[in-house]
Amino acid sequence: MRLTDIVVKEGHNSLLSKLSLSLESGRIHALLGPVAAGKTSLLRCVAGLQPLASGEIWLDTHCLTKEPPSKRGVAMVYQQFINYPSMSVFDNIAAPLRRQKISKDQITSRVNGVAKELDLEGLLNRRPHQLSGGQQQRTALARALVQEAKVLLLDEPFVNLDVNLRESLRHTLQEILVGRDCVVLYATTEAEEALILGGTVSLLYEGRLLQHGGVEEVFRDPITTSAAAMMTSPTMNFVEGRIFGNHLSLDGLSDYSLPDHFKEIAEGRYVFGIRPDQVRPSHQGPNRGVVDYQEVTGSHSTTHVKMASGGTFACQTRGVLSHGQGDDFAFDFDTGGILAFSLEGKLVKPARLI
Amino acid sequence: MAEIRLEGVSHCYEDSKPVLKKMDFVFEDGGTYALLGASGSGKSTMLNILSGLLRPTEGRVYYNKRVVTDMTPGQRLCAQVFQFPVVYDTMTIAENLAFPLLRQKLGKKDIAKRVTTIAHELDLTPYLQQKARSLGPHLKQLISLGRALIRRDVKVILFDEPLTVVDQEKKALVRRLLARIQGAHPVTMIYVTHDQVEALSFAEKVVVLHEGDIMQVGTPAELYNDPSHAFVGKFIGSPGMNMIPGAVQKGVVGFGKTYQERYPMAHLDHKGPVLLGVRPESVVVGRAEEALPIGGVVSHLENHIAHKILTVETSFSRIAALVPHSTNHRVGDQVSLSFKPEAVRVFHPSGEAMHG
Repeated sequence: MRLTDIVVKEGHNSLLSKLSLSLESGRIHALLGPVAAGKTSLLRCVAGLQPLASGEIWLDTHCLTKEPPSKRGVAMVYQQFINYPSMSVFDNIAAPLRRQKISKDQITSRVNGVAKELDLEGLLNRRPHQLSGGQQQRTALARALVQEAKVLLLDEPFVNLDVNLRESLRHTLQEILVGRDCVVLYATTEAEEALILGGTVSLLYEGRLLQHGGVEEVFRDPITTSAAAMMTSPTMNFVEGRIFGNHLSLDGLSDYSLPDHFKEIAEGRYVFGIRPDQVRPSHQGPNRGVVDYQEVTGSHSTTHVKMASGGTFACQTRGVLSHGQGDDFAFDFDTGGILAFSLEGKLVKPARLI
Repeated sequence: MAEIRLEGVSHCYEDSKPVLKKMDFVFEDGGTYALLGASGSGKSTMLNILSGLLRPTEGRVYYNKRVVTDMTPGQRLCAQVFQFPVVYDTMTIAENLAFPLLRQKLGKKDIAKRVTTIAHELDLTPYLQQKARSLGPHLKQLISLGRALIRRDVKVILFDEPLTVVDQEKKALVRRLLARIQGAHPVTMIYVTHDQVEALSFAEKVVVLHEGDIMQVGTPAELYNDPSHAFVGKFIGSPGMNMIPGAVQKGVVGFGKTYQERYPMAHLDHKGPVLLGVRPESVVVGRAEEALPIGGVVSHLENHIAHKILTVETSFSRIAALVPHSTNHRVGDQVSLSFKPEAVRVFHPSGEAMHG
């Protein structure tokens, strides 16, 4: 699927500004960005629900731009669990097929096939209100998959589910979709989710595309500080500092000897990006601050440290730590994974992952 | 402030089986608690009994030695923050915050002072003169919280999944403010959620509920490191604890149908069938040639921000392992595994933790 110079306007506001993307089938393409970045607008454009001010959408050699939604062969799953309340799970899944000229036997076999993939076999006679949230969303997903559409749009499909359910559903989704002859677009606000899905990622911000590429590559080499901030969670620590001689001097933090991957960079001032997971508590310091607050996310604790300079610094460690607000906190980090950006925020040199 | 005590409390809706099984429990004065459980665990029922919106089928509720079982939330001096913000859209933020004080005998100056303090604490100062209707859901929820905090007579604040309507990216901001208010106010706080991130980030003590039973009460670190039940181990952490069935005899664990796979763990002095609980970060993954005790094949690989998660299929179980980005295992690779001995937890096959 190719999107070329897509522009969407609402009144005088641009929801999408000259956005171009080329997306292959067989991989999951994450659209990552905060609320109102343009993710849903983009999905709606592809579905034909949002008129374009300009631009074109192509699927192979077929131009979709002027096609009505029903002729596009696009299926969509939303955040909310949307099913027909008065129909059984079977009929919910079969609904899009009944609008086509497909024999009863074929409908039954296709519904059963999809139900098996999504572990809904035992629930086919139930009504949506008898299902848990996860089962309702699997039903909605099954209804999208049964159409064997060429394009599948998923708009934060698991955001309303528990952590544990989300994990297993993402896993299922990958098993079903990777390698399938279908272009899959998946909107999310979470960098971690984009990484887990493992395909490509498009970073969207205020209707503009900041970066597009394989998700691991974008994660490793974000081309700007904005892209880097978006692609880490908790967000990357940014510190101004200076490279001179064999020194790396970071404002408000300790001096370090210059890591190898910065040896080719010209002396001068830069913005350095330090991922929270590379920061570790260390009794000897050399950096010190005071605990502002702490969060426990999944299998990690993130301690937000208030620095004497007034800024905060995030440190992520495995397991569950329990620091109280106001505790002294000393930390260190490996300099081998630091990214350098120009003062305007452009990546200076690809970093090496440690 | 109030100590809240549940004495022999249980609840059934009509003739169905109990949604909350008989329990005794004390919420200590001034503590911050989370009630954590999936839907149907009984957490909302427990909250409604604590607030007075629901009268338990059996048992008594005490606030500071006083029986309050038949009192309304207002009589109990208990404030609530619900899933959906309750704010007056046509009023400004300042008017919304001041509202609960109007019925109290307070001078205008005192009210204004209180509003300023609370607004500052919740980072609402810049919005004080705006109408509530123009604000996003996270700010509206902060107003709801501010209206609970502003009353000096409130003894207990109950939170019912307060981040449900808050945008994903604003959740961390609200969690941060919730952390900030703790200890700054002389109230007991109880927070109901199905989200472990919220529970473990908010509470000093987390009460894990499952099918109407309290499974464990502990600090976030206790729940994570020493789950008292296999359910808690699996429920908390992402991914949860691996639970691997086996049998122990003389310091050797046997895995598989006939316990043919053997793993020496000299420090285990249990005997008989067990579930071994191992957190994914405590699984050591080596190449097949390293011949660690357990052999397997990588069946799935997931990149996360701070690490990768490998799923390894062995002849007897599927094991999740958390490895650094620098490792280069691929799907289909033969690997060998061991467990960090100090991190292994032992459970009865029925799920309860074994101690000692």
